[in-house]
Amino acid sequence: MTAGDALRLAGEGVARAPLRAVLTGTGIAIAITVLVLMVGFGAGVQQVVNEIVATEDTLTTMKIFSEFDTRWRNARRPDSERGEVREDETKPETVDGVSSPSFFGPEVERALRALPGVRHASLDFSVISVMRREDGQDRRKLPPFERRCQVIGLHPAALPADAADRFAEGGLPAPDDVRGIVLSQEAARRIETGDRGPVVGSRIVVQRLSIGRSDEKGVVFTVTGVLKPRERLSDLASFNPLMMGSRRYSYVWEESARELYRGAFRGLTDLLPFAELGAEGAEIPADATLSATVLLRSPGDAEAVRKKIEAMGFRVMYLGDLLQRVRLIFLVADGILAALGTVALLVASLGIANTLLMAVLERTREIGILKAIGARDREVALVFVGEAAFLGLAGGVLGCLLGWGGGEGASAIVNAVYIVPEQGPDAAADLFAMPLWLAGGALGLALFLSLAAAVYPAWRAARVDPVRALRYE
Amino acid sequence: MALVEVRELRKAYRVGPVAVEALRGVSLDLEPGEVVALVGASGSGKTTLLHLLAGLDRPDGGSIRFLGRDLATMSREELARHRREGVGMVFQAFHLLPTFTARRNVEIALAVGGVPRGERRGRAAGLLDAVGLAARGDHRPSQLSGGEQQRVAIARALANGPRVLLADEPTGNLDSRTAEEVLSLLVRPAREGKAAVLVVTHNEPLLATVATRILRIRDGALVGEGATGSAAA
Repeated sequence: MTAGDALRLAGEGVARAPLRAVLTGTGIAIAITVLVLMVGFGAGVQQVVNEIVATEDTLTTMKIFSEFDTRWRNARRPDSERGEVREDETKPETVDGVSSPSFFGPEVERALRALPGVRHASLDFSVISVMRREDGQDRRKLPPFERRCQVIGLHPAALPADAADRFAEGGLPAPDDVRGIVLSQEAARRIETGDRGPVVGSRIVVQRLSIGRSDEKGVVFTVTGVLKPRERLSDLASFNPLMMGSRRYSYVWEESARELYRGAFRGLTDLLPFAELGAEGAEIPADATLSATVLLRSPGDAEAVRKKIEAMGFRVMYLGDLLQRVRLIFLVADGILAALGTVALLVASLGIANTLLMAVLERTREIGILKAIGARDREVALVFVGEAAFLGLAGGVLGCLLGWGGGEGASAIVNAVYIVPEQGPDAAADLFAMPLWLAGGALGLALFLSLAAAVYPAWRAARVDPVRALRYE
Repeated sequence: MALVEVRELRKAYRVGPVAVEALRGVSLDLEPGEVVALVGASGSGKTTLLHLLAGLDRPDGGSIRFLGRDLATMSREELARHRREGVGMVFQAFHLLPTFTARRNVEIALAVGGVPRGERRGRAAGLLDAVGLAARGDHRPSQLSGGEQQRVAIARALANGPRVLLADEPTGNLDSRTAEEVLSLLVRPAREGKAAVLVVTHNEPLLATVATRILRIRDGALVGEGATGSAAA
């Protein structure tokens, strides 16, 4: 008897007790559905995080914080959350000619740019400002806090290769255009004019924030381009993925940003450290910063560059680290979810074992007949192993389909009910993923456990005494 | 060397605390072309002897040599081969697979015997034709009469060209006319010199017309042997 003959007998055996087969297969299907749903949502969310975080931009960008900034922030954290730099640590006086300053200036910028593996480094000239149209034709008369926008300095050397593709309309200012400005979608929406002309080409007044009545008239910029919205859940800044605090941001050439930055209100996060530095008697230049951005030549340079920068006494923030941690967390979470699903599958496979034992009992006489005409033990066993395989595969396929349908449906509901109303249609994300490894793994597991469940019943069938079996009623 | 040599065969069963000796030192030979009738009352050990000859059970003592090879030394796999290729069995209760058609009941024996799938249908049709059931191949056992079912069982038993055909009360559930027809089919392989046929029966007069030898068994021991009119002829 060939394996095909045994499998045909197995299929006929399954078909002879359809209700029992359906119930047993449904047990497997439910378990696989649970497994696919749990692991699929883990994989989907991980995929979303990967799409947001693991881009070429994010993995080649590092944010560097000054030693003072780190000390200042560490002093305000519980011991367990403090960074590597401690107040009592003794830092080298100078590293690569930089003397671990409390704040960043041109000397640090040059030292960072000189590091091997660094494509570009810039001090972070980021200014919180209020924007309005120069002609006063803003469609909506929004209060100042609704027109708030982060202005970020941009160096030509820091531009990504596909910078031009990142615009919805217009483009970058000309290299010598120090009064050109690029707006994010959200920032552009704040100064829309309705039907009174496009945003690109319009003139806007950028006024730095100040406390109390401001006499400053602001600086007039001309909008040269509006950026495309960034995809998915987070609206990362288009040319600097670590500037992700706000959806409203804009870019001007670095020289203009530095000009705005001098003496600007730098926001609450930087204000206090600078105030304390001043209180300590430090001479703080007007264009000193507490952070800088370093662009790497490739993600592979990250480790060497980080070591160099940390040796300078600075703190490094790198999304690659976060990504690794997130991946580990997802790996553990996926493992736990898969284990839970496997428990469900184990329970279902007991159903298969029970069904097969029933079948062996019911078909004892037939087994005896097969043996009387010369069927080998393994051929008899294969018939029951085949039945288990049918049940496992059918339940597995059904479970994968139900899991996929349920997962996609649940993802659509979460998007429709929560994400899209809260964050807009661009934020819609596929929270459920069913990669091939998941489908294949679920089917493989269903098949494996079904076959494992068949071992004892198949062995019982193979060992049936033909003489007794032929007398069995 | 005889086709089958049985020597001092012993087999006992336990019924509760009591050991019942089903066979007590049975010895016999079977030669190709012979039709041997094994006659005895119920419980005399006829079926036990048949099961041991078929390799469905193992003896407690003595030996069964099939073409010189002792069945007692065979592994489970070799015994399965013996049942598949060496012997064919016909039972009183037919023992057909109830969900299979007549043709598939024969085909499954061919499949077990390793006949390629493409040849099975034609060979099964030929075997059914030989037992007069060419037109009933697509019927299930429940749609066939007792005589027809037994013919299917004979076709199945002959499927792999056995050297010995063992029949256990093959006519026990049949009327006398059908019984004669079935018997004539059973003894055909012996008449053609292809096999030895051993038929267990209560119905000595029926067998006497076709058997070459009649063995009488009582309480697990052979008590008499004699030639028949058929042998004399």
